[in-house]
Amino acid sequence: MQDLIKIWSLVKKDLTVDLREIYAFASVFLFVLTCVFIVFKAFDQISLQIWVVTYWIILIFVSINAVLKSFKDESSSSRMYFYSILNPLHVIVAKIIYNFIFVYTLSLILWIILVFFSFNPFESIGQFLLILLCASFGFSVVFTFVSALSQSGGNNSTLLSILGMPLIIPILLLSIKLSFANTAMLDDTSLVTDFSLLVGINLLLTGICMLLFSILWKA
Amino acid sequence: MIRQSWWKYLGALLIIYVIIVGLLTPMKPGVYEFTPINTKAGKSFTADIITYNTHYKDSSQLRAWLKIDTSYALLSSTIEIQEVNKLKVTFDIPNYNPSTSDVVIADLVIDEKDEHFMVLPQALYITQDSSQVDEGALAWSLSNIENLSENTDFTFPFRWITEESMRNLFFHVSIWFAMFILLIIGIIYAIKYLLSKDLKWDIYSSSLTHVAIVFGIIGMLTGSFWAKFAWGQFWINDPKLNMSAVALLIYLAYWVLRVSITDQDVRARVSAAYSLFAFAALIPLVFVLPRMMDSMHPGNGGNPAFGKDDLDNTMRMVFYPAIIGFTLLGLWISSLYIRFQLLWESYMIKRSN
Repeated sequence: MQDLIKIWSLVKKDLTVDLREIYAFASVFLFVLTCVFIVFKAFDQISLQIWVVTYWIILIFVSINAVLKSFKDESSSSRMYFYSILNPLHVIVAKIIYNFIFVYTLSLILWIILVFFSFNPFESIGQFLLILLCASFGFSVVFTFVSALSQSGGNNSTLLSILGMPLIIPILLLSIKLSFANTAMLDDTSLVTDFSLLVGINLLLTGICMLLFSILWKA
Repeated sequence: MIRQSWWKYLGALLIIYVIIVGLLTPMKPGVYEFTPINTKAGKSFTADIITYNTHYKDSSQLRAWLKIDTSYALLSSTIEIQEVNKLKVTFDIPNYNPSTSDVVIADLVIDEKDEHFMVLPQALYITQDSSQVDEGALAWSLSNIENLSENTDFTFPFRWITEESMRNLFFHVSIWFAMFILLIIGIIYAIKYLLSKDLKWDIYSSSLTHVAIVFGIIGMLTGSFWAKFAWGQFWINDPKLNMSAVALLIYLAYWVLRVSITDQDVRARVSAAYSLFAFAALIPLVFVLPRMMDSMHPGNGGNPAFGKDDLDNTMRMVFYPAIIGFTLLGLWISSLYIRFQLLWESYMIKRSN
């Protein structure tokens, strides 16, 4: 219970900081809007396949941009301060939860904007929201971890995309497959296995991320 | 262990053995081409057959059957030898198939007295307009496949499509096995580094991982050449191939990561953490995901594996030593790399003093 309260206060702290400097939200939102508009202008007729693939590609770049800053803004002195009072597990869990909420919100906004400009390709909205939930959790875990890595490697932002992109591919491919199944373009007979696989990968990565972060944090 | 040399000799010996035996052992004779591939019941049917690795002279030594399931067989009526590897075989197909379905698929069996018998699975499609199962079954069970001659020499089995490229199994598959073993040892050293913070273990871990990356690239190239032969293209859009490409990308990112950080301790810590994370992401990528999708690549899903059907004992006698040999070779290369880096390290320290 004590842990939960600490984690929640950390999440709240991140949220307050980001809300105070609203430019972060605004820039990401603008990024989404611009991407969708470019896609909308580039393709006259958006087919189901293009819709789904475009959605995920935009989402991946948006979430890289969103999560990129999670360890960036911390100066070394504030880091020292956090280090002296916090448990690394709380820090990483709070970051993952905060980024997860952020990415999930972004994915919903992206979906609404794309639907506004074109159409909604999905048969079952509930299932799509579930896919988004799993996928954005995976995105948040991988990108948070890579962002922590790149921070201890000297805050190199190219490093983040180089390391993050290949690692995200299994989660991304599974999500794309699941969303294709939801558009009735193909019959998916292994819906449950795919979902459980996605959850399994997420849990595995979360576990390792929590384990390794304490090592990175100590240094 | 790293300074002892017996295992290096063993690795070199095994690889020489694999190259000599794996490339020089002849293949058993087999059916290369069989045309046409369909006919109707009740007709006399003549097939042109091109065989591989055969030396036909006397047609009285030759027998050929069409086989349906395990119980029905039909002996050929005439066999004419055109060249040492070319036959014209005539079958009098009975009026009815031993089955109610419109089409049955028959296997071809050819036997010559001095050579090993050969089988072409699913050679001929026989269609029928109406069915008389009893009459068909009677007509198809007049002859038995018996007294097949077997060649007990040390030979590899002939498989349709892969043919001589089958030998690539000893290189492509074993190099991938060796890569995984090297990666796992590298991961163990990465954990060791994270626990002890001794830079020596970082050198061990990174060297092993780098050699594994090179092995992965070689394994992919050998696989590409095999794909060119069997599928006609160097690369096809197939889940197994794509996933292995992604795996390679992840590890190339590892290499970029190490190059991009100059501080030694930071580099060691970050790359050890990344390699652990990458290996965890690799397991679903290579071992779980492809098995759930249809694939042209052998292994679970899609094609049958190189397992009980295709890998016979003669090939195992080369395949298993190949795995051990390539693993030892990889360890040898990485041990040289490790020793070089340790020397370089001490030289740099000496120079800075």
